[in-house]
Amino acid sequence: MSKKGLMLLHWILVILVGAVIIIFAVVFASKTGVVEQKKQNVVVAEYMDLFFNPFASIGAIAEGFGKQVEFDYEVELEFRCVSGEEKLFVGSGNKIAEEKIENFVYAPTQLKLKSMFVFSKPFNLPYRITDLIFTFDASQQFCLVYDSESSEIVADIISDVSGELLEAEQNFISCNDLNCCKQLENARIVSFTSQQGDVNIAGKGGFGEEFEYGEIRFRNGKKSVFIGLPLVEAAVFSDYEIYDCNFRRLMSKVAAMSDIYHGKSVFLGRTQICSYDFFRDDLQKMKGNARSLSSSPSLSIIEPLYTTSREFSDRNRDFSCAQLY
Amino acid sequence: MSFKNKKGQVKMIETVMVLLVLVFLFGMIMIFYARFQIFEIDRIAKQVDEARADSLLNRIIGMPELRCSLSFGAASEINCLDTYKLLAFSQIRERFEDEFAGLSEAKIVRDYPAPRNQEQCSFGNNYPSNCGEWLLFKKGVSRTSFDTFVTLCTQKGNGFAAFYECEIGRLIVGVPKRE
Repeated sequence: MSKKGLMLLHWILVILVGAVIIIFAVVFASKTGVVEQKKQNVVVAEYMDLFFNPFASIGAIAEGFGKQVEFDYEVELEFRCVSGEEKLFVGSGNKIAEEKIENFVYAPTQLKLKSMFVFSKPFNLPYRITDLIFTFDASQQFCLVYDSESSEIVADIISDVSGELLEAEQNFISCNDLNCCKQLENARIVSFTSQQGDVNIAGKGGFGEEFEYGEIRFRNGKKSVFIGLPLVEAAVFSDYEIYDCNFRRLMSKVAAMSDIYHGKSVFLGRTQICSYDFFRDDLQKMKGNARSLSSSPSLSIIEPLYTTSREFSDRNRDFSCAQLY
Repeated sequence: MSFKNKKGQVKMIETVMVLLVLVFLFGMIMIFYARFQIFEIDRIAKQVDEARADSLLNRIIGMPELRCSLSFGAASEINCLDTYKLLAFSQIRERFEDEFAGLSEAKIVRDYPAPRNQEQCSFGNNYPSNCGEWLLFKKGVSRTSFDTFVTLCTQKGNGFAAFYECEIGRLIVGVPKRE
């Protein structure tokens, strides 16, 4: 072989091997970038789930708890209901991390933010069931439309939020006309009147108060129900999918809690001279209603649940032996 | 001519060998880096498991299924668990497995006064003095565990006055072994 031919072969070999190494390095570097981002999203998803835990237990000792959270970079969060479970997805494209949320977190389906507000409120029926956790973008505005019948509940909601999160007070305005809300860009309009907002809340009754229980209609036309102020607040902050998913989970938990108290009433009944039969009857009714609501939320079942829980509360308060709760 | 050909061939073989060694070295670096990444992910996973167990300690103490209600008065403001609720819970604990996701074990043990035995609690005379622990959850083997002190209160009464007696216990949670 001539000298020139050998040199050429030399260079061809060098270029070939060099090209393979460079291609390999480039592919590896890009894959590493994707893996690193996904690893970061997995860690964020795991710690987001852990982050909600203190909010879920604070109701044991306090009325609620609020906090503003700032991220170092913009995060993309998506809350979804998958097979009856609430799941959090962090990231986008092929860098998505998934985490099951054990708590009851009410938030819009999609969030893209650097700063968010989180606060919690205990849900009682009539004893404490769990804490509901509300999350929203720190830049999100809310416009609450009220009339003479709903002015009190709107004031309660704003007072609740500002009580736990003073910085979030400026995110809320209240108006008695929808046009006042339309002046705000991208505000979420929550209407307690017949005027159509992103969410419409209609109180149907309650002992001395109109908004103890009622119906919720979301902009997509879907309807659900509420019982108690915490669930009204849940509807303010979340989309239908998350509200409905968590409502059903919540009712399953109400049924489970009634079993705990039923068991307790059996044990207390054996050690106390009083009879706990009436409590057990009430608990059975509440369990039945809650189970029905967990499979099919309906106004016709909310009312008896509300009534029974009030009777249970009155009976417990006036009981002469060891109270059940 | 023949000598020059041989020299050329030797040079080419030299080049090929050098390139092969380079590729081999590059491959070794890649393998070590991949092993390091796997080790790092495993370490972070274990860290997250432990953080979860630690976080769940406080969440379990705050669970309304176990915690003392307002009828316990001032006791309800501290880490107070209702022993009748504990018993009811332990009897239907399989329904609450989701609450303990990420753990291998969760149990409450009586610490002070020292229990006469470490048996699983069940209702009977002198409850809860007749037993030592309540099992809340068990699944798999624990790699390590975390614990915290709790107050265990039992409602008593004779129909004329309701009161409660409290003692000291511990909540122990286990971190699962990763396969």
